[in-house]
Amino acid sequence: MEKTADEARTRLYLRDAFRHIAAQAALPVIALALWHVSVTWFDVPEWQIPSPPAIIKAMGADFRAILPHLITTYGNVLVGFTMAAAIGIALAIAIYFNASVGIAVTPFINLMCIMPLITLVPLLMLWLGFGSKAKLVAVVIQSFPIINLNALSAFAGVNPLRLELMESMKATKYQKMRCCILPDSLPGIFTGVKLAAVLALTAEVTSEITGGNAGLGARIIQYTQYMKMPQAFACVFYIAAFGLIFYQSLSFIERKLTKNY
Amino acid sequence: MMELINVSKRFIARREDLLALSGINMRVGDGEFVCVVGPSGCGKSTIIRIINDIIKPSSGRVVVDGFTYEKNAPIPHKLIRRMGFIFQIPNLYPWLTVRENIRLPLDIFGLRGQKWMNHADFLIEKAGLSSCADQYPGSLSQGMSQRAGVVRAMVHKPDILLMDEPFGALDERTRERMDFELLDIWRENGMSVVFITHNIGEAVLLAQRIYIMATAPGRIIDTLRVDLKKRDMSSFEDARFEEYSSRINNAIGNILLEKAV
Repeated sequence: MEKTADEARTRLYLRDAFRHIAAQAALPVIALALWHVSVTWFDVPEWQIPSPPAIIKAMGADFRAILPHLITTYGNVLVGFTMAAAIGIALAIAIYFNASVGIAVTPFINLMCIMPLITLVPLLMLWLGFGSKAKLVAVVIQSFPIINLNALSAFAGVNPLRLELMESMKATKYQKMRCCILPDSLPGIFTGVKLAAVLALTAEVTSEITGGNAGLGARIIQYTQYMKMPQAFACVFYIAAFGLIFYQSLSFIERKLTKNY
Repeated sequence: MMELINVSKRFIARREDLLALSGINMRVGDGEFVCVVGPSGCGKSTIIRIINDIIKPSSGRVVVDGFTYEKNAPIPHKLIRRMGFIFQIPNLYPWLTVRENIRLPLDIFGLRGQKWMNHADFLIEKAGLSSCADQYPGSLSQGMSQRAGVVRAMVHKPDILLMDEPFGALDERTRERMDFELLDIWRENGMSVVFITHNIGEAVLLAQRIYIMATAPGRIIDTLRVDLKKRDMSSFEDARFEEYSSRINNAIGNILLEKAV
């Protein structure tokens, strides 16, 4: 009897999972099919818009050439994003413990949010060179303020009754942060973290396009200059795939950590 | 013994100030069960928040066993450790299991060691929460959650329980059951209890002394000593139960009538 119930549950779960995946995949598949039909039908030359099969073929055939750039881009994004998350959250905690820190740094953080990154990248490259250093700094500058601001806003919006429980026991500031504020703020912090993931990738690719020879952004520029459009699009697809997997992984971690909220 | 001497509380707001409490004088003897009853907005909850030092009084003072705390005086940690606060809603942290929630005060008060862990487990078992102790609060019924909230307030062995309409959100039957369980706990442990309620029947059933409050400003209009032969299901049949209830009803009704006229 119990086995049948378990089987029914598994069947239901699989059916829902299949529906979910099918619904999510439907639109990209239709878009790619339309793209393929259009370029074939109108006989668009490959150097202008390559067909999806040509791009997929280039993703495989040129993988060895693209791989070092792929590692550079993915690595910089992951390292820069991790640094940004650590700085953003640590700074928010520091501001919670000392309001003066907040008064001092908030205008600069707001400025970093407002300032278009593209204006800073040439300067960063002038000071730090065309290697990974300038790109890492760009990724951190672009993504940590959004994590910081979201964490601060989550700290300020902690459920007052939950905080009152801490007050009723005269918990120290550290105990309040550890036992109540940080866990209660987790959904808000993740909002910032997910936004930062998108911004980190944008910052990295923008920096690569602006200068230097390494990274998928730089490859797109080079391939475009040589009219190697399938390879250029292959790089775009690799960036998109990474962005999607990165974002979905963070959403998955968020769901796991906040499943009881 | 605990005493509130001429306590007032004025909440400062942007548009206009609100005098929430005016000239509150209250006494709670050692091991005494005191109820504060009154209509919504009369400042009942503010009173126990002042006792627990969550809110500072604007004037007047609170004396607990000879120790005085008032507007600007900090309350010693050891005095707070003697108090347990139970909220209107269970106020369990959703990211902690029921057992972890119940052990939270031990963490905050620095009560470590197996002895305290065993004490928490003993209370969990006694309250009939063993089967759900390792579940998260989201899967518990309202009654079970509130039971966990009561156990959490008692885990550090306080001798003063401050209860803010703890069973107000429960259905009639569950509330009655919880009232009787609370009486059993009180008889066993001999704690002083300050119980806030707007339910007159509940106040008469539980209290040895009842403070009746009125609104605008929140003040005590009458004090009632309750002397029931028994405190069980038969109490509802006791002639004095009806007598006490109507006295409270009349006191509150007269004030409301005066206000209307």
